[in-house]
Amino acid sequence: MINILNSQQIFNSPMSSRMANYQIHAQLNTKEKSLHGRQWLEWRNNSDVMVDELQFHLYMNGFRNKSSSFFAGIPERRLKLIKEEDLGGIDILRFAIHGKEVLLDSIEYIQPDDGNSDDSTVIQVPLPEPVKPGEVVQIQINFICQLPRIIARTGYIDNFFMLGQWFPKIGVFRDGQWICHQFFRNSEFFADFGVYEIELTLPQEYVVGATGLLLKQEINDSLKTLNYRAEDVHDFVITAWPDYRKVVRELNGIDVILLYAPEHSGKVERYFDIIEASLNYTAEWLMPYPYPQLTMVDVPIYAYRAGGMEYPCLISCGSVWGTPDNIRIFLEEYTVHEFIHQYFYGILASNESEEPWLDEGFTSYATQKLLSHIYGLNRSASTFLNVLVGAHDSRKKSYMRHPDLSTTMKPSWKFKKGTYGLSTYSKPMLALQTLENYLGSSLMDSIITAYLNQWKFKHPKTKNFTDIVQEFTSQDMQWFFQQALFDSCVLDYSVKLIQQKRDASGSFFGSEIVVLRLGDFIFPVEIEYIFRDGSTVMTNWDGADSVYTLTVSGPEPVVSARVDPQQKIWLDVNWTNNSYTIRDKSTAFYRHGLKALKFYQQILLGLFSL
Amino acid sequence: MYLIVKGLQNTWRLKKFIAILWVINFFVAGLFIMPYWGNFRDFFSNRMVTDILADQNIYTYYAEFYYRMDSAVSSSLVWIQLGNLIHYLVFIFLTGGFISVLVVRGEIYLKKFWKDCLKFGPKMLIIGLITPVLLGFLLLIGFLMGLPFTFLLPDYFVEDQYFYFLIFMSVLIFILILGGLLVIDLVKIKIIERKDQNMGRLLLEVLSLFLQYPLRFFGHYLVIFLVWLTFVAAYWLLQHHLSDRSAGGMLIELLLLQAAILGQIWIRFSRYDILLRLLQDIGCESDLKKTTQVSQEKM
Repeated sequence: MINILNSQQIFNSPMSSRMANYQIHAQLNTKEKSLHGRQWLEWRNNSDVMVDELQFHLYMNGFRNKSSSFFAGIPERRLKLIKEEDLGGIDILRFAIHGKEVLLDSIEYIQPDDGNSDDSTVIQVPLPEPVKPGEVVQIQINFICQLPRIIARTGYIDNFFMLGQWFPKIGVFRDGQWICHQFFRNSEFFADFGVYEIELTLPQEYVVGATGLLLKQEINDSLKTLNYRAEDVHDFVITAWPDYRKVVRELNGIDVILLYAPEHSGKVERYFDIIEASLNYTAEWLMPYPYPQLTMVDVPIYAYRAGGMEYPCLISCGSVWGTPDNIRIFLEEYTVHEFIHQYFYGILASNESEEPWLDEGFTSYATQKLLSHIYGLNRSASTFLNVLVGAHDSRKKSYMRHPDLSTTMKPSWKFKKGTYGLSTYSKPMLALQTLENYLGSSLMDSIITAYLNQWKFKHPKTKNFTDIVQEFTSQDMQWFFQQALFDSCVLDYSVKLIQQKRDASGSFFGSEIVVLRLGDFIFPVEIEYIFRDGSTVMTNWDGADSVYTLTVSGPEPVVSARVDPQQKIWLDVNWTNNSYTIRDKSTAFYRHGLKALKFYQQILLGLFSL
Repeated sequence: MYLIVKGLQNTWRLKKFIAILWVINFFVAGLFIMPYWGNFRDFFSNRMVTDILADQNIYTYYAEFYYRMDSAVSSSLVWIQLGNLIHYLVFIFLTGGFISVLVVRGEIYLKKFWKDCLKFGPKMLIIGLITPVLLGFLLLIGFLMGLPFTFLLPDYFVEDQYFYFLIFMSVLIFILILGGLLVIDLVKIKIIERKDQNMGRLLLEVLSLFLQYPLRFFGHYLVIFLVWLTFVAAYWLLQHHLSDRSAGGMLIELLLLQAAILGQIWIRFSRYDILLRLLQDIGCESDLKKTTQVSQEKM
């Protein structure tokens, strides 16, 4: 094996511990939809214990048969739609350690998470000699990968290829044990940082995008061989399609490559505009994007299942032909979301299988912040037909439908149907924004920056983040995280009514405001009440009791009251009950009524009614 | 274009009938939207968020509003759909009287209008009930006619071709549906002209006439459709720019809405006059004259 750590450097010094370094020679057979690979892996035991076995992910085997754990929970009628010939898989042809062959029979498929014997996404390889702490082991693997027709994220459709998780990938050895989870539908990935040198051979008409920098290209008859190198990343993806159009621009000193479907040529400027704004925003808010290159892949619509996915230095986005500029829920939102993953997944390489909220929740939070910064809070997703939609709206809507369905702190494969998205994207996003509004933006920014700086190019856990919050706020915030992440508490405060107090003679002497805590999530809230003369007073309530009566005395009666008037508590599942007023609301009512009448009279005059 | 202008002018003569139809529209809308208003008032009467909703279309509040009011809105929808049905049937029922007034180009008598409504009402209602079925059938035909063209697409279609194909298919379906409506309108006119004639025979006669002059019929019908569409678009554009939240502002908005509804009824009913003139132009003059003379004698 070539010592890849000593070959050409991208960075002056390593940014990560570089524990798993790969060199792979791969040949893509575009007719057979298969990939032959020879892989050299250099893995360092960074723990303080001896390691007597290795564990590898064979993610492609998730598509080997319909009884694999990947397909668990998918209804039979949907499984029937997947043809047998569309499945794929990966086979190990040779395994050697320090040049010594390992009998393939000694390699065992294991199922550490669900015990499903039909699942072959994790292998366990016994070592002839244990690896001592600090020792480096060199492994050679030859493999053949039969690509699936794209079911989720990876595979082919026609001559389009998105190759994600295509090679045997070593697990992470941490705290004296292997973390090498099976591949489930909701699970994403977790791996050590390292250096990747990939040599890819494929027909020369293919336009290719990949995680690394292209160092060399050789054309031999109808084939071409491309040499890529990536440093301080934990995965390597390749995409290839003869029809890709390619635009390269330098933004903030970074080569930004856009590979797009020809019919999306009208979207090119939108892609570069949003990515430039994102690079600028994250450079100021988080840290400058650290890699020299970023590739955006705009997948064709028939391969949409390969879109909306993050990989180091490459993001697959998605856009729909003909969507106007003021609908941003596809192109802009996808692009920003996947780009933000470069930080919360790429740089902060948390365990996506065990704690999916750390990447999806933080990314959703940062995405809506970034889009709101550019377009405005209630306009960030769409202003089409003058209906204002914010990027947070879909998240809030999905959460408020089933706020008590699941907790957030759960391994990805344990979420029941329909709860993964709301528990790992929506609720954490709302929780983090609530936390920001509670602590103040500047303190929250300091916390996020410290979290990033302390844990960049490492594998943070939830506790690492909460410890930083504790450190910066100098207070125990466990009450918040316990309710927001570990429990399925529901937060809902409401102003029930306002009563005018009168004495026996009927003279007014004060007002009573009744505020309710309708959910089991306790959160301190602000209450604003407005007197008849327009003057306002703000007061605080710890939110602990289920009913709170606020008595206000004075010559002027209270006419309106609002709990959380500035809408800081995004976790509140019902904002419409936060206020109460005894003022005349008829103008607003008639205006809305007129709007309804307008639509209804027009509908009645439908096309065929005369 | 002459026929279109003439048709619009002549239909304007029937202002009081147009007003009757407008009153029905206004009354049905006001009556059947009340449950929705009631739910809205109960839910928001004491909520300050109503102010925000009255001012801007912010999705967050609508989403929460509809989610919280789900069952109440659903029960309102039943009323709204019932209103739709009643409005549809009443308008169809009155169509016979209206066409009859157009066919008889003399003095306009309200009594005769109601009499003809009753006389032709059952047949108009039958047509009104058949119409949605026929249009559904044409929709299916349009879809099936478009399917063979998918073979012209590449194996794995690219997105814009897919959209162009959808647009092509939509145009095809639109032409078929508009053609279907045109034939139905011609049958209605023929029923009024010929009085007790068999509907099936009239349909065949209309189809044969339409196939002899497809472009003339369809061209005029398309133009009147576009006039109506332009009018509707102009109204929605205009009302979009009204932002005065005062009582006066709302009154102007309400009056503008009613003017738009009146205008639409006028434009859409003028199609019968235009078709009548077209029938005259292409040789059905004698039938019309005969009908006119008989009607005048009776009056």
